[in-house]
Amino acid sequence: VRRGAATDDDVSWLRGRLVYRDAPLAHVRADLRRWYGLELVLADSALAARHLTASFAGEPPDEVLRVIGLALGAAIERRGDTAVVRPRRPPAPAR
Amino acid sequence: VTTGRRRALVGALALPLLAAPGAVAAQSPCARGDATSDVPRRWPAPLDRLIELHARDVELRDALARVQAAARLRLSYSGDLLPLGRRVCLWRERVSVGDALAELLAGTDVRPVVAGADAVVLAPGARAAGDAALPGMARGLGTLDRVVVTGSPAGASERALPVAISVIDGGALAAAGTSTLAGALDQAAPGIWLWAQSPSNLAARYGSIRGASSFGVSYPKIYIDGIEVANPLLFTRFTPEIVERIEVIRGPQGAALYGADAISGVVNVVTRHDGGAGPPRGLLRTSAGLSHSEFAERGVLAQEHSLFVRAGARGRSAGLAATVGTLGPFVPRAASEQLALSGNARAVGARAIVSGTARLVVDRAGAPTSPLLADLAQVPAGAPPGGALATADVVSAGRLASMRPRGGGTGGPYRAPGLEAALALPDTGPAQSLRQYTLGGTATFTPDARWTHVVVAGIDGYRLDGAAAGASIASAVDSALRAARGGADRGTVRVSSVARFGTVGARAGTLTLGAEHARARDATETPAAGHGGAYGANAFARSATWWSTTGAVAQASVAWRDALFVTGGLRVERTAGALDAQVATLPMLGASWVRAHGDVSLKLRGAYGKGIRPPQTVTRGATWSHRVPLAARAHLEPESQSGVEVGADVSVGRALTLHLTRFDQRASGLIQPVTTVRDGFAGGGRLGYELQNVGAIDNRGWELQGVARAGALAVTGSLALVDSRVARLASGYRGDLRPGDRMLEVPARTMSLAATWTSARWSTTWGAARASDWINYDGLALGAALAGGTAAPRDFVGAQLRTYWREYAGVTRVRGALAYRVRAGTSLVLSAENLLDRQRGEPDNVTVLPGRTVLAGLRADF
Repeated sequence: VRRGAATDDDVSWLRGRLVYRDAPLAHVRADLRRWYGLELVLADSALAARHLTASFAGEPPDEVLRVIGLALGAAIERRGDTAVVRPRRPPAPAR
Repeated sequence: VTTGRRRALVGALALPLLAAPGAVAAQSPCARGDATSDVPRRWPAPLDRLIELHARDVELRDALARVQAAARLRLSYSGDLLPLGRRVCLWRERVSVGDALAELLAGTDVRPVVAGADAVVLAPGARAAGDAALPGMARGLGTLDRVVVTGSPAGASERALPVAISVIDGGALAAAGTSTLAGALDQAAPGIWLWAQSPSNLAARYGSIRGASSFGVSYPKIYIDGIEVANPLLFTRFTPEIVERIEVIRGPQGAALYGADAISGVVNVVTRHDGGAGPPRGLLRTSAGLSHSEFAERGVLAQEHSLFVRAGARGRSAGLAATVGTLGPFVPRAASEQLALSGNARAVGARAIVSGTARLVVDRAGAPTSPLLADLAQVPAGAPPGGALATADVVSAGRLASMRPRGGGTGGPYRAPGLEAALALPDTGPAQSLRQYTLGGTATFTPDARWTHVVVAGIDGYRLDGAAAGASIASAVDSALRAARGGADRGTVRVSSVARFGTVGARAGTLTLGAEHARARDATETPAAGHGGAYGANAFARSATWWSTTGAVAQASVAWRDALFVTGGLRVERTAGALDAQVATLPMLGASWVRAHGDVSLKLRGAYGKGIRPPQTVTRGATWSHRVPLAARAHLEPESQSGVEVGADVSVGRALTLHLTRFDQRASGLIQPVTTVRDGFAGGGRLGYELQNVGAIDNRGWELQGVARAGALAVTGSLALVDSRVARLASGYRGDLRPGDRMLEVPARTMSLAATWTSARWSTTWGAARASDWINYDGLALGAALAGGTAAPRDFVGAQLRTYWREYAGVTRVRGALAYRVRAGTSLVLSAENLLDRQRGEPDNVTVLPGRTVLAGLRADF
C-alpha cells in the first residue's frame, strides 16, 4: 500500500514496482538494466555475492541507487548510465 | 543542552545492554525490550510511527517483516549483513518503529536510515563520529548524496561539486503543472529570473542570470540530454512528464566543461529514459479552462492535452509523448497553439548503453501588439507611415533595441490595435511560426570498473517565420527574435573518457579527457545591402553562414576521505567561421569540504571560472548582425565573464536543506554598438554603428535556497539579491548608460516560496515567485512621445533616453495545482496560473500577459 499516491502517480505508472526478497544482487542488476537502463558495475567480488531485500515504487534511479548503496554498505558512484559499486571503506586501513 | 546530554548519557548506558542480545535473549527473550522502554528517543519520520508489535521468539527476518507491515513501511536491507535467522523477542503494545528496529538490530552495526517518506534502509557501517552522542538518531539522506550530470563529465555526486547547482525534479514539475521554463527556473533556481511570457511571445526574456552579462541579451547555454540547443532563447516550454530533472549552473564555472557561450551558466534538461517490462503503458492528461483578460470581452479558451506511452523489455525501452495546447486571443491577435512530439529509446548491453532522443515542437501564434499602446497610436487609417520618425533605432545600451512609431514592422499596413479590436476585424491567422527539433543520442561504454567512455552526438535546429515585433517598442529580445527569422542548425559530437583511481573513503581521484566538435549553420535573415539599421525595411536576404567550434577538455578531481574535494579543469576552444579563427582558454578551479555530524551535514565550497561568448553565435548574431556587416566585426574578440563563487550547504537529514552562495563576477570585453550619427541626420537619416569590445558589467550578490519537509508537507523557498552595475563603457559610447548605473531590467531581489502537501488521495502545490526593484524604460511615456509626432530622432538617443527610465516596484506571480485521486490510476486535476490576475507590470509597463488562467481536467493511466 502506497502513501502519497497522488504525487507518486505522476511517475510510478511508468516505473511499476520492483520487489526483492533476499534476491541475489545479480537479479537486481538485471532489473536495473532493464528498468532504468543502469549498469551496475561491482568493483568487489564480495559485493556480487550479496543479497538484497527491498521494494521500489516509482523512485528515480538515483534514489534506488542510494538505497542499494546504503543497504550494502557500499559507495555508489554514478557515471551517466553506469553505477560503480565499491565498498564504503578500504578493506584494510592504509598503512 | 542539558536534556540532550542526559539523553546521550542514558543512551550510552543503554548501549551495553543492547549490545549483548544473545545472552539476554537466552535467559528472558523479552526482558531486553522492557529494560529500554523508558529511554526517551526522538526519531525522524517515518521512524516515529507508533506500532503494536507482538513478536515472541521469531526469526529476525520475520520480525522485520512484521515491523514493515505494521508501520506500512518499505524496509531495505542486505540479508548477508544481518543475523536474519537469530531468534528475537519484542512484545509491545505501543512502540516507535525506530525503537523497535534499534532493539531488533542491537548488537549489529546496522542502523535504520530514513530514505523516504515511507522508506527505511537498514544500513551497515553508518557509524559516524557524532553517533555516540546521539544514539537514537538515524542519518538521513541529504541532497549532498544526489547525483547530477551537469558540472561533471559523466555524472557525479553533488557532494564533490565545487559549484552551486540547482536540480529541479521533473516529478515535482509535473505535480505542479509547470510547463514553462520561466515557471521552473523562477521557482527553483535562485539567481535566475526569467520574465513571464505569453505563448505568443516565442523568445525567452531573461531578466537576470546572476545579473546581466551583456548589453544585448543574456541567456544560458541550454542542453537537452547533452545536445546543445541551437538558439537557447527559443527554448521556453517543455512537457514536464517527460523531464526527469533540470539541472542549472548559474555562473561561468560551467564553461570549462561546456565551452563557449556558457558565459551565463548552463541549463541541462534531462529527459526520462526509464521503462518497465511488460505490455506498453500509457498516461492521458487532458485539461481545459478559461484565461481571464481585461483586454478580451470574456475569458478565452485555454487547453492542453497530452498522451504518453512507454514500453520496455529485456534491456530495451522506448517512449513516445505528444502534447497539444492552445490559448485564445487574450489580446487581439495573441492566439497561439503548440504541438510537441517527443520520443526516446534505450538499449542496454553487457558493457554499453545506447540511448536516443528526439523532439519536434511546432508553435504557431498571432502577432499581437500591446493594447496599452493602442490609445497612443490613434493614427488615422490611410495615413502614410513615417511622419517625423519612420524608424528609430535607439541606442541599445540598455535593453531597448528599437522603436517603431507609426510604421509597421512585420510587413503590411499598420493598424492601431485598438481600432482593429473596435472594428472586430478578424484575425489574419497565425503570423508567427516556429519549428524546433532535436535528434541525437548518447552511448556509454564501461569496459571495466575504472573507465567510462561517453559519446554524445546530436543535431538541434529551428525554423522561424514571421516573428512578431512584440510591442511597438522593441526590446533587445524582440530584436533578437526578429533577427532570428530564418533558421539555424547545430550539430555536435562530444567524446569523453573518465578514469577513476583510488578508493572511495580514502584517497580517490578522477581524470576526465574530452573533445568536442560542433558545426553550426546559421540561415537567419540578414538585411539586404543598403538597409542596415532600418527595422522598417523588409528587404531581408537569407544566406547561410557556417561556423565551427572545436574544444578539448581536461579535468582532474581529487577526493580525500570522502570529505575534501579539489577539482581543476581547462578547456581550450577554437572557434572558426565567418570571423577570424579565435582560440580561447577556459579554466576552472574549485574545492569543497564536507563534514557530517550525525544527521547534520555541512559542505563548504568555492570555485573560480571563466566563460566566453564568441562575437558570433545564432543568438548573439540576432542582437547585432542585422545592423552591421560581418566584415566590420572581424576584429571583435569574444566577450567573457569570470569570477568566484563561495557557498555553504547544510542538510539536516531529509528535514531541512539550505544552500547559501555568494558570487562576484565581472563580464568584460562586452560588445557595444557605439552609435554614430551620420551626416544628414536631421533630414531623417540613419544612425550608424561601430561595435567595440569595451563594456564591462560587475555582478555581485547572494543566493539562498532552502527545503524543509515535515510529514506530508514540503516547503521550498529561495531568495536572490543581485547587484548588476555598469563598470566600464566605451570612450565614444553615446548610449544612455553611465558607469555605476544599475543594469536595466535586472531585479535587485527575486524570491520564491512553494508548499506541497500530499496525502493518500489529495495532493496540492502552491507557489509564489516575486521579483522586485528594477529599472526599465517607461514604455508608455516613450510610446506617447513617439506617437506625438513632435519628437525628433535625437530625443531618443543616448542620455536623452534616461528621462524615460523608471523604477518598477515589483511583480508577484501565484500559481497552484490540486489533484484528487478518484481511484487507482485516475485523478482529477485543477491548476491555476497567475492567480493574482496581474496582466501588466513585468518587465515594463507595456507588456501584457495572460490573466488568471484556471484549467480543470483528468489524468488517467491505462
